[in-house]
Amino acid sequence: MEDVIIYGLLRGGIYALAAFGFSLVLGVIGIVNFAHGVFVVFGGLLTHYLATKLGLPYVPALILAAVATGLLAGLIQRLFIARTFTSEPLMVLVQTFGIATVVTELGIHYWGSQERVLRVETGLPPGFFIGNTFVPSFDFVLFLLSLISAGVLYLLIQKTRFGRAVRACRDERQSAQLNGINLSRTFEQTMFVSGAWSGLAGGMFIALSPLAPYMDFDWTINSFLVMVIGGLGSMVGVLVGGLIFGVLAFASSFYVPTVAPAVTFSILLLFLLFRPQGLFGSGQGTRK
Amino acid sequence: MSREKGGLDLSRRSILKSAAAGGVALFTAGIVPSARAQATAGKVHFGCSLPLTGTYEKVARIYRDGYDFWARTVNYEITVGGKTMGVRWTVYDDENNPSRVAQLTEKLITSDRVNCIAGAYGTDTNLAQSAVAARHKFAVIQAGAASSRIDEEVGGHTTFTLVGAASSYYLAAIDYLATKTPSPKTIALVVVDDPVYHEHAAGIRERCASHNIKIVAEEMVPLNVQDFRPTALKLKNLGPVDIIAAPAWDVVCIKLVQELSTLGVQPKAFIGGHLTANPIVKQSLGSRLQDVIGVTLWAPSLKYKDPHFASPAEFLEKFSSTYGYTPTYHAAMAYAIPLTYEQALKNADPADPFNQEKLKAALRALSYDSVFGPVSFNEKGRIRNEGMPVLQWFGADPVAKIVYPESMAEADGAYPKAPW
Repeated sequence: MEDVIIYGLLRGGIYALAAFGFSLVLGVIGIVNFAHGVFVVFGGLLTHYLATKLGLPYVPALILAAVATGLLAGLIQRLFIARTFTSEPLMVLVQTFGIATVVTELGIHYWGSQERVLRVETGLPPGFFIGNTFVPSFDFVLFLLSLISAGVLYLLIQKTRFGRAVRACRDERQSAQLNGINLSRTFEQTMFVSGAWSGLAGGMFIALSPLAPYMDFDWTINSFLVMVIGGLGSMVGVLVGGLIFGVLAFASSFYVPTVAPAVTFSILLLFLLFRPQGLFGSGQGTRK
Repeated sequence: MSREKGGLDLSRRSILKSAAAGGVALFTAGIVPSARAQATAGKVHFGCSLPLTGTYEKVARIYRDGYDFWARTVNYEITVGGKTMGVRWTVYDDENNPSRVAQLTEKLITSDRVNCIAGAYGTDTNLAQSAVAARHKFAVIQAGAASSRIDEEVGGHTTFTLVGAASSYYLAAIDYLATKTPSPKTIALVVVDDPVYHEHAAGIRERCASHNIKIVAEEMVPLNVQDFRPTALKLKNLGPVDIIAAPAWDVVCIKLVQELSTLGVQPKAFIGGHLTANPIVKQSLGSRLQDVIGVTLWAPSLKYKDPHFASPAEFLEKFSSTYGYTPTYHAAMAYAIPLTYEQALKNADPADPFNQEKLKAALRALSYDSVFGPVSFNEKGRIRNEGMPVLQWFGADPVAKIVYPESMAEADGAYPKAPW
């Protein structure tokens, strides 16, 4: 059991990282971004491309890919979502679903649809033990990196002008506008941050497990599950939700592998029934 | 996609010319020849669908290139019933979707009016294809499905299979390991929850029983499994195991080796499936591929020949220089499909060369040598030359060599394997 929890937590850091952007966009712009998983996959595959085709070391490739993913997200916001997000929620849902399909198909066409994994030679020792569980060094480094990234995002939201604008837009959009906050710009920046952090998650994940363009929807759903568990509007909630989801996903794959997705979704249903605001959400009123 | 020399001509002029020519032919002959013969006059039209996008994209492209390579090799001309005819291919993307395969096969037969059908990739897709082909009384030669379901449902009367039975894939690998000293006593299987992989596992189980190798665990994983850490953890918790076998495809091998090596699970032998020779495996695993065992239906070192190539090595060299990559055995297997049609059609009745019943009879009676190996079919339409040579990867920059059976062996095998 100890090993299941530890390995689940190690994966959970990346799930949390992927879900921050999803939660941020839902909280600030007020849309369920079905294209969110595309950012994770795009970031991962771009990291792979930069490292294998252009020969960049892993960390620069990871950062460049994250920035590029952020730019892609910002572009999607400016060209598409900005024009429809005030419409019926269903319209935006369909629109983001369409964007996901288009980007994925283009990715398959130009990148190929096969799964890719990035071999990273770290020079680190193989790992260490926590109790009886062997913890691989690289997994642990990526876990730490995901926590640090979460911390950076937290500071960005809490301590910067951009963060204040984001929180103002999230809490009271009209008042924010009256106070001179440029809504369109803030939304674009929000989408950039969402994309960048998702791209970072993808770039970290591809060093552990294969990614392929067709996996985007899985990542959207995973991010949604993390947010449901952790609660909307809470970064701590998303982080804890990601870690819990990591453990749940690992445990279900360990104990009941052939029905693992059913188990994971059962947890989602239970949360929606008994604690729809999630563990750290501030009540149903926060949902827009 | 057209694989015709010079491309598929669909200009308005060509359509009008064809229509006019057809009308004149009908008028002057006073009879209506079979629509298929009319539509394909002068050319043998081959058709198929492959999963050119999706999980099997890479292997599908090797099949497509294999077909194309055969067409190039024969210079887009073959002899049919003593008459030289051109060659034309129509290849569709079926996205590995059986419904789409059925739809495309219907289109190939009724709209594209193909003469010969090459099989799809995968069991369900091949069954869907063969169901449609059977309705039109067409023959299918396939090399993309090893499942016994093909034999049971469509084998022999519709479908002819160039790949050995799924249950036979890993028999030689187990036989090989059983020759080692000290002989392995335990094995753990990682089985993908899909009929064809169950058949692989069934063959392994049976052969392990005959060698007194005890199966200590069978980890069932869903077909779309992404994370193999839980599986690796279970294998680690088993304690020392002599053999870990993952009868699955290349990505499963990659994921599993990654996780086993990360967690320090050290079996004495690891059987990584039938696609370890796919370049992505070496690219992804690097030196961790060392001593991994795989099986393959074909290798360039085998002593085969056919009317176009003196050896598999020559085939491989020309294929690689044509397409710029070194293919897995699928290239030779795919190439063998039209080659088999070529052999069967050679002595066809000139009056009705593509009569499908006569074609099936010719296939049943066929026996010839190809660079893929000797080709002849049993009563279920399955190739008689079953069994997979065993290969193992050697060195820090791993190179695959055949280690079993002894008659084909290029190197002594390594057992127990070096730690990851």
